[in-house]
Amino acid sequence: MPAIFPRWTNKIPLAIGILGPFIGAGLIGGVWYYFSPKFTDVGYRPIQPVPFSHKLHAGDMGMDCRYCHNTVERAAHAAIPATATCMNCHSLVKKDSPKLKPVRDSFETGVSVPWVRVHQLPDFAFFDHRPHLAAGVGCSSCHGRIDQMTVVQMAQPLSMSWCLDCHRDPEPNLRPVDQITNMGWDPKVDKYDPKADPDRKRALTPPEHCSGCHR
Amino acid sequence: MNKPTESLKAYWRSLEAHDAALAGEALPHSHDEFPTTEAELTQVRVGRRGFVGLLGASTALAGLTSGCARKPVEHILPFAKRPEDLIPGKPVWYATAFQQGGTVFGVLAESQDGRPIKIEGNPKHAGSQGATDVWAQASVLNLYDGERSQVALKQSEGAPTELAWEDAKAEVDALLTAARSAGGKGLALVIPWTLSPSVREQIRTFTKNFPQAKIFLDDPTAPANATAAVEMLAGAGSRFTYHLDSAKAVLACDCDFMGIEQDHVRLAREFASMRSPMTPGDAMNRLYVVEPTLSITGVAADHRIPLAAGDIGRFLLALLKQLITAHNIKAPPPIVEIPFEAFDEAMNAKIAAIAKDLINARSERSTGSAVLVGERQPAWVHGVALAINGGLGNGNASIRFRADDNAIATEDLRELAAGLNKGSIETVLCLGTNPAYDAPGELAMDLLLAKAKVVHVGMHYDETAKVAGWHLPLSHYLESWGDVESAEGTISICQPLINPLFGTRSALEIMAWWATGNVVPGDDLVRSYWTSVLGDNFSERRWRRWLHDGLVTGIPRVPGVPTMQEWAAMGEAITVGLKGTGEGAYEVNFHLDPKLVDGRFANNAWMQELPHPISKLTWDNAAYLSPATARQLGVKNCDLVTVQVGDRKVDLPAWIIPGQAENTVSLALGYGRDELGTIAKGAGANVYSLQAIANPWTTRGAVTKAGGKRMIYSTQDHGTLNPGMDYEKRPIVRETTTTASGWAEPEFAKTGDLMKPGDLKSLWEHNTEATLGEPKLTGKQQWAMVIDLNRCNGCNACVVACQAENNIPVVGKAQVSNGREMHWIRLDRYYTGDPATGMPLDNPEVVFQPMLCQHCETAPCENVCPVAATAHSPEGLNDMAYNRCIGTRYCANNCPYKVRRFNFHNFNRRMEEDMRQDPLIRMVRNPDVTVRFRGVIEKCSYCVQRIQEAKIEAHVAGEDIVADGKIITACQQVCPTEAIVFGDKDDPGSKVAKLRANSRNYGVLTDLYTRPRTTYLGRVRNPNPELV
Repeated sequence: MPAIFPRWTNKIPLAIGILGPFIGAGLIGGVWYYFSPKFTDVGYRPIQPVPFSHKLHAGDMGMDCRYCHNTVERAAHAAIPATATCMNCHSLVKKDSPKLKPVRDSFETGVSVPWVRVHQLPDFAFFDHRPHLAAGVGCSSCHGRIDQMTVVQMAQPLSMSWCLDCHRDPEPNLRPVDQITNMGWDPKVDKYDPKADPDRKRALTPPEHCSGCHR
Repeated sequence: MNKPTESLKAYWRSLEAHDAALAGEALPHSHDEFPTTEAELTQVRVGRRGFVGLLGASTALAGLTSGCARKPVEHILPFAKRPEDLIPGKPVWYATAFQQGGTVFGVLAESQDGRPIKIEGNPKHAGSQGATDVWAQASVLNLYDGERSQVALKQSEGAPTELAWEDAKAEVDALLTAARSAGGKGLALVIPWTLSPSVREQIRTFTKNFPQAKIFLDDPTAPANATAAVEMLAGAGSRFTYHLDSAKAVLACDCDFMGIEQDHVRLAREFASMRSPMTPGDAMNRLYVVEPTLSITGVAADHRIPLAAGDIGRFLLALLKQLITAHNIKAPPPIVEIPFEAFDEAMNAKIAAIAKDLINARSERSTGSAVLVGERQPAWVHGVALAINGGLGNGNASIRFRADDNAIATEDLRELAAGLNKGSIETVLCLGTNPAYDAPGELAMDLLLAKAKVVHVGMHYDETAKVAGWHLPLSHYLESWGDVESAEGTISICQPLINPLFGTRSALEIMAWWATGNVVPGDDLVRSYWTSVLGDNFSERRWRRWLHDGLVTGIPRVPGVPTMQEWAAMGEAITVGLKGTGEGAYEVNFHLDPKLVDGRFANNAWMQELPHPISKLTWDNAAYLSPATARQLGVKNCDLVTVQVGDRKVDLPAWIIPGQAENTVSLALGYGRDELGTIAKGAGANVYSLQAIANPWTTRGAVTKAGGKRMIYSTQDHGTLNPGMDYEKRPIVRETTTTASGWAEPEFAKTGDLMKPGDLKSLWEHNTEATLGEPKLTGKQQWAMVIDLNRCNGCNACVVACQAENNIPVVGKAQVSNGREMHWIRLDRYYTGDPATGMPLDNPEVVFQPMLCQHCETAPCENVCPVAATAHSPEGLNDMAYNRCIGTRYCANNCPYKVRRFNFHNFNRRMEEDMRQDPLIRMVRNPDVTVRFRGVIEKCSYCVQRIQEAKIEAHVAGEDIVADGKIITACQQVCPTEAIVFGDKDDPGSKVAKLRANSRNYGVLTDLYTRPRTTYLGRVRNPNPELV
C-alpha cells in the first residue's frame, strides 16, 4: 500500500516543536504590546475643530494651565473652557482670523464648539483631579509636555496598571504643590523629598483597592 | 438539654413558611435563590443543531467585529458662556418643596449639570427634617416619564387632535369668556387639595370674576374627613395637626401615621424619638393600633387589635365612655349621651386597659397621650377622637389647632355629579385632577363628565382627558414655580430646577390664566403675590434668602385659634354615622396604596416594582383577606374573588394577610390604569368603581370565589436566610420586651448567638500567605453601619432612595416572579409567634429587618470569586469591580445574607427600550455611579461614591480622616426615623461606634465567622402588663 502522506510530512512535528514556542511567544508578545494602551492610546492625536496650539499658549506665552482649565481644583473634571474664556482675549487679539471662526460663531450663537476628547477613561473608572493636585502630582506627569505640543496627544497610556504603578510608589512622581503647573519641572533634576516638605499636611496613602476608582 | 436557641420564637415570612415551620420541615425551594425557570428555557424553541449553529455564527461574528472596533470618538461640548457658579460635574442643590395631599416636605433637589436626579429632605423644614418618603424619592422619575402628556389636545367624538398651545388657549378662552358673561353660571372648577398661597390667591380672583362658579375638591389624598370634622366643630378654615414628641401612650385608630397619613415623616420621627432605649431603664412610648388591615404602623404597635373599619367609631365611643366612667374625664354632653352597641367582654377589657394607660401617660408634667384617627375614617369618628383628646388634655400638646384663614371653601364631588346630572353645570375645568378615575364608582363620573364641556389639565392623557374636550399638559413640580404652606404653617417657595421638558405649564400659571385671562410666567406670579403680602418689607435680599433656605420667614400673622363648640351638630352626625352604610356580609374597605397612592404613581416603574411593605406584592394589587375569611371562602393566594358592592363588581386575586380583621376585605386604590402608559399597563385592578357615595372608604358588600387564578408575585420568600432542614435555628431577628424593672432579658441581643465569640475559629489561620489570609484592614477609618430595629418601621423609603442614588434598574413583573428584582436593600418582613401555641395567624406580631450587604470582614463571597471581582478594601468595604465580574454568581450563591443581585437581561437597557423610557430615563441616572451591564453581580456599596467624595474633600483640605457625620449614605439620609447610622467604627467618639458598643447591638449569622460590618440593634417591645 503506498503511503498516503509524503515523507517530508514526518518533519512537521519537529518543525512545530522547534518553531511553535517562538510563534507562541511572538503572538503573546504581540498581543501584550499591540493590544495594550501603550500602543493603542499613546500618541492618540485627533483633529480638533479649531487648531488650538497649546505650544503657543502654554509654552511660548507661558499662560498658566488653570487660566482655561479653571475647575481642575474644584471638580473631578478639568473642564474644557467655555467659549467665553477664549473670547476674553480673542475679542481683541486675532479677531478676524479665519481659524477662529468656529469660536466666534459659538460665542454668538451659544452653540458649543465640538472639541474632541483626547484623554478618555472608560465610564467605570472615576478619576478625580482634585486629590492628585492636592498631593502634588504635576500636570505633565500624566499629560506630558503639553507646552511643547502643537496638537495635543496622549503622552501616557492611562491604563490601570500605569495608574497603579504610581499609586504603589507615588513619591518619585511628586513635586511641591506650587510647582504643579510648571511644565519644565523635572523630578530627576529638581530633587524633592515629600517627607521633608513642611507644607505637606498629611502622609500619602493613594488607594490601591477597587472602590478607590470603580464605584 | 435544650440548645440555647430552642426556646426562641419562630419567625416566618409567608404562609407556606409558617406551615412548614409548624411541621418542622424546610420551606420548599428555600435553597434556590433563583427558582427553577424551566418555563423560560422551553420558551426559546431552539433545537440542538440550531443551538450549535447559533453558537458558531455568533463566535464568527464576534471575531469579525471585535477586530474592527475602534475607540469611539467622544466630543466635549463646553458651554459657550458658562453660568456663574456652575462647575461641570459638580452637583448643585436647590431648595424647593413637594406636596402630596396634606403632606408637605421641604426638599433639596440635586441637579447634576442641569438635570434633577435626586431628592433629599431639607433639614430646616419642619415637615421633612432632612428626611423624605418613598414618593418624594420616586417623584424625580415622574419628570422623565416619556409617556407624560406633551402637547395640547382637542377631542371630539373621542378622537384627539394635536393643537398648538396658542390655539388651545384661544378655544378655552372662548369658553371662559362665555362663562364670564354669564357670571360663571354653569362653570365648575375641580381642584386638588391646595396648599399654595399663590394658587389660592388666583382662585380667589377666579371667584371674583366668576361669582357663580362652583369649586369642587377631588383628591383622594386630601385630609378631607379630618378637616370636615374640625370645620363642623370650630368653623371654616379650622385645621389641626398631630404631634407625638411628648406622647407616652399613642392610640392610632385606622391611622397609618408612619406610612401615608398627613405629615407621616414628621410623625414617624417624633414617635421614634421616644422609641430607642439604650439601657433597660430608658423610657419608651407605647403604641396601640386598631385597624382593619395590617399597616406598617400596626407592625410598630405594642398592641394591635384587628377591627373592621366600620367599628372604629364605636370603639372610640366605648373608649370615651370608659374614660368618663372610670377616670372622670370631661367630654361634651351631646357626644356622651349617644347610645351605641357595646363590645364583648374581651374587647371591653382591652379598652379599659388602654383607657387606663392613656390616663397614666399624663403622670409626668412633660408627657401626655395622643389619640389619632386616620383619614379613611368619616368625619364623625374624627369628632369622637377630638372629644377624647380634649378630655385627655391633649390640646396644644399632641393635637394642635390653627386657623387657615386663606383656605378655599370647596364642595364635594357628589354635588358636582348632581349638577352635571341636572345640567346646571355645563363646563368643567379640571386643574390637575382626574375625577373620571378617582371619584367613587357609584357616581359614574366618567359618564356624567362626557355630557359636559371639560377642560382637563394633567400630567398624563388619563381617564378624564379621554372624556374631555380639551387636554392641556401640566408641568412637573421640578419644572414649576410655586409656593406651599404645610399643615402646621411652614411656608416654602418652590423653584424649578429645569425648564419644562415639553410645552407644559404649571398649575399656578394655568389657574392665573383662567382667573384673569392673562398668561403670566410662574416666577412673576409667586413674586408678585409675596410682594403684595409683604409690601415695603419685600426685598431682593429676602427673596434670595427664602429661595436659598427653602423657607419663607418674616410673614406677619394673626394667629387665630379655633374653639370647638358645635358639639350638638357633631352629636347628630355621630348618631347618623353609627348606622353604617351598605349591605352585605363583608366589609369592603379601601386604602391609598403604599406604592401608587391614588394612582398618581401608576406609570412610575420604581413604585410599581417596589414590594408592598406588608404583602411584598409587586406590580399588582389584591383583595386582602384574613386567613380565616379566606378559608371560609375557599380561596388561596392568587385565586380570583369577586367583590361586589351594590351592582358593581370587580374580580381580583386574593392575598391572605395575617392580622387582617375577620370578614373584611381591603383593597388598594390606584391600579388598573391600563391605558395610562407602558408601565401602568396590566398592573392590578381598578377598585374605585366599587366605592360608594355615602362613605367612599368603607362600605359593605359581597365577596365570592370567582374561580380561576391571576398570578401575582410577592417577594416575601425571596432571599431567605433560613437554610432549612437539619440546621439549628439561627435567630435572625432578636427582640425582648420591657418589664417593670427593665427588659425581660437584658442580654437578649447576645443570647441568640449559637457560638460564643471565643469559640469562633478563623478559616484562614493556617494560611500564612499574605494575599490569601484574612483581609488586612489597614485603613485609617473602618466603615460600619448600625440599623436600629426599634426605629425602623419598614416604610420602604430607603429602598427607593437607594434605587435613585445607585442607578438600580427595574426588571418587570415576569422577572420578579423569577426572583430577579435588583433592589440592593431587601426589607425583610417577618411574622412571629410562639411555636408552642401553634403560631396563630389571626394577629401575629411582625417585625421588619432591612437586609443589605453586610460588608463582612471575612466575606464568604470574596474567596469564591474566580476573578477577584469582589475584594476587600483596607477600610472594610466589600468592593465590587463590575468590569472584572464574569457572572459566575458563585458569590451570590455563597452569600449567607442573600444580598447580591445579578443583572440577568441588561435591565438598564430594557428599561429604556421595552418600557419605553428612552431616552429621557437616562437623564435620571447618577453620573457618580456606574450603570451596570448584563451578566454582572451588584450589591450595596455603602454608597462608596459618597465615601470617596467625602474623602477627597478631606484630603484636599489636608485632613487625614473624614469627620463623623460627613458621610451620609442614601438610605441613612432618607430615613424618616433615623434608624440607620453610618460611620467609622474605630473612632470611639463616632455615633456608630457608640451604638456598636450598646447591649442591643448584634450581628446576623455571626456564627459563620463572617464578622459583618452592618449590625442591628435588637427590638424592644413595650407591652402593657395588663394586656399581656
